[in-house]
Amino acid sequence: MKTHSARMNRRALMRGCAAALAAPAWTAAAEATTGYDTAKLLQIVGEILIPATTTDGAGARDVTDFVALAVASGMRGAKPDLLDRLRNELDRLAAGAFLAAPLAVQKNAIEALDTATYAPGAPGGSAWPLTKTFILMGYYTSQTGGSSELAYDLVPGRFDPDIPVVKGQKALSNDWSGVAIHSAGPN
Amino acid sequence: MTNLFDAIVVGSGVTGGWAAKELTERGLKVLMIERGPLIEHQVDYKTEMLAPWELQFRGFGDPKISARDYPIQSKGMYFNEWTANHFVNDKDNPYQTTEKDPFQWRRGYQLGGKSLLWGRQCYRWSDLDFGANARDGHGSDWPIRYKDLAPWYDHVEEFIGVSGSQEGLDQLPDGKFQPPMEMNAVEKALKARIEATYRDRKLIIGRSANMTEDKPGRSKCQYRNICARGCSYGAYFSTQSSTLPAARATGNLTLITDSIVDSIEYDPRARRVTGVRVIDTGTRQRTTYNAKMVFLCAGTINSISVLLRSANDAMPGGLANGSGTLGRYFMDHALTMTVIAKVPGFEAHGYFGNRPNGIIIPRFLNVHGKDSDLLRGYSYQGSAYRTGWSRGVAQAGVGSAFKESLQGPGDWTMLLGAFAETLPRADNRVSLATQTDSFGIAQSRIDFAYGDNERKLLAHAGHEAKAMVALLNAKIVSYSEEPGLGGTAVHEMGGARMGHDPATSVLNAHNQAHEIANLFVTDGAAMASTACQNPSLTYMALTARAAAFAVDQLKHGAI
Repeated sequence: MKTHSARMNRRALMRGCAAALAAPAWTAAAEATTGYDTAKLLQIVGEILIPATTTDGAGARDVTDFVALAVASGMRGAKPDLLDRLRNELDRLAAGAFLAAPLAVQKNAIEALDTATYAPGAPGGSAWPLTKTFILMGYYTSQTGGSSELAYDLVPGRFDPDIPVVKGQKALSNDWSGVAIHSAGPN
Repeated sequence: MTNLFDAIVVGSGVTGGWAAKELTERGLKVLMIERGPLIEHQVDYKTEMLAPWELQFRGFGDPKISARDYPIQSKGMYFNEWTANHFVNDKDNPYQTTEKDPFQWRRGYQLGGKSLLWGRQCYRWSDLDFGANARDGHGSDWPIRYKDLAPWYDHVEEFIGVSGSQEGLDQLPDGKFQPPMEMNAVEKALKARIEATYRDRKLIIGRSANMTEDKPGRSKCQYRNICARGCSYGAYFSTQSSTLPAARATGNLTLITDSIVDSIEYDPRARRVTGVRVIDTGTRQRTTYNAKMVFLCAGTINSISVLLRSANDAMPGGLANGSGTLGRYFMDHALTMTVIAKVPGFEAHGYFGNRPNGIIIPRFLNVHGKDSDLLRGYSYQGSAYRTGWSRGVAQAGVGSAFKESLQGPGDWTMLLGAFAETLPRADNRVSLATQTDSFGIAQSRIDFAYGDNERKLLAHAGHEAKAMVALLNAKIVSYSEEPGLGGTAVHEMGGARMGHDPATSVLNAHNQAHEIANLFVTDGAAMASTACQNPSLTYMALTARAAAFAVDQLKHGAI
């Protein structure tokens, strides 16, 4: 997990805004050759948020399809323009077309957005917290996230009330009390 | 099929199933009528074994369908994509309520009713509860006391299987329990600190109708905590798992589903009910079934509504409403999620399994005398758990380190919710609206509001809860003293209350209508007060007791 101070985040955002006035070379090329591809956006963003490690990441099709469905269905109050707004925020942070930017630029943009929106006292209004919520929902209820990255045991058969927690232990993805989502975004 | 029976049971939920079981086992030919569809045990639990990735919306449900068809039901804790088909379609089952305090009527219209959906908490009432109305003058005195119901609590608990601990508490009598479920490390720590600090308080494991020992044809709990989907193990009490098989085994039960009881037929000369008028929800055909007695077990609001719809020339205010109290003194517990707190210092402790039960802090206010200006009391239910992957939505973090951080169990969280007793008030009532439903049946109207005493009890509960979780150095992240809307506790009671006096109550000490000897009401409508603990076990005991009485009366020619 990367953490940054709030002051550093605002400086990062301002640097991004300033840089947008002088667009990098790859932006012009991107505008000429790419349209706005929602699936690609979700694949890139998902894979940066939850990358492939020993298990697949959240850029997988079953995750991005869920996120698209969540937005389209208005889950948790999502508006149809959620992903458009996310793209705009990321374009600003990437100082150009996010979708065509190099991976390192994309990662920096998402990390900066995440840090800024989850900083104490952040003003709200960003599309990122709800998008992040949907990506996590889509990943950890997918077969990979729910049963490979975490453990899934529908029929535990018993209750062990007090067991030691060891490093590398996988939580149950179906610990229903523990996975209730009370609200999207920062507390 | 004959249209003439010894007894008709209206409803197949918690009390309907019990009435059918007790009456058939005593040799009566019984017709049980369920307004919703058939759901057979095991074979019709369609979503029970599905993983989240096997559902279109991964268990969260289509919000458009929830908003359109389940705006009330979807706010309940057990409603999700797996369980939605066990809840009513609100759009198709309208009712009327007030704009200011809209009552949230949570329902399941299917065989088994809310016995498929309930929270399974089972607590006996004591004379602190049965004597409450007489002590402070709110409501009318119960015509029974604990000693009248104790053997029936025994009977019910032994049949359904209730796990719990023997505690010796006057305000929460012990029962016939299977071994209790266990508490986790945080719950045990809170218990120790509360009991060391407060002489009059206990924190105990919940008493639950989830079994810890097998019964014939039923397995003990498998710790899945997906009860409302239906449990093929039969590990918790439902009509399907328990009372219906027993009733069917007698060969005396006839079951019809998809049939709404519109009204009850009454013979004013004999002063007896003679049967029920039923609408087939598929064909809309109307049929009358006749019986020597009727057990009304349709659920509090529906039972009241059936009686009101059964008004006739002799009883223009509703069947058995000579007192004028039918529909009045309607109640629901005042419930709030008092405290949610993060608990430090137990990071090395975890648990395995999904326990479908929590803890309870029984009532300690006004138990052995009057401790405060407030009337009656409250109790808490809650649990401690470790947060899961969903904690990530509220945290900063991107990348492989973030992913790794979500792999193990998260922080410990303690929840405590308070249930406050609600005083009986005449203005809280169920009546009939002028609007009708798609079958032409008058809709129910619910006027309900909490009073000052309930709000003050929840404020008291909040103050005390803060102090108790502070014993764990817990950090409170959410706090509330405000009751949820009426109906959110799903403990609707009253409206056809039991009482000594026919002038002020609908039913006598045996749930028998004062004015109609062969009419019994044994669901929540019969309750004269709410106590602060869950009422379903009391409904079951009252039903079993009333059935025994009714059959005895029939055999002696009194019915």
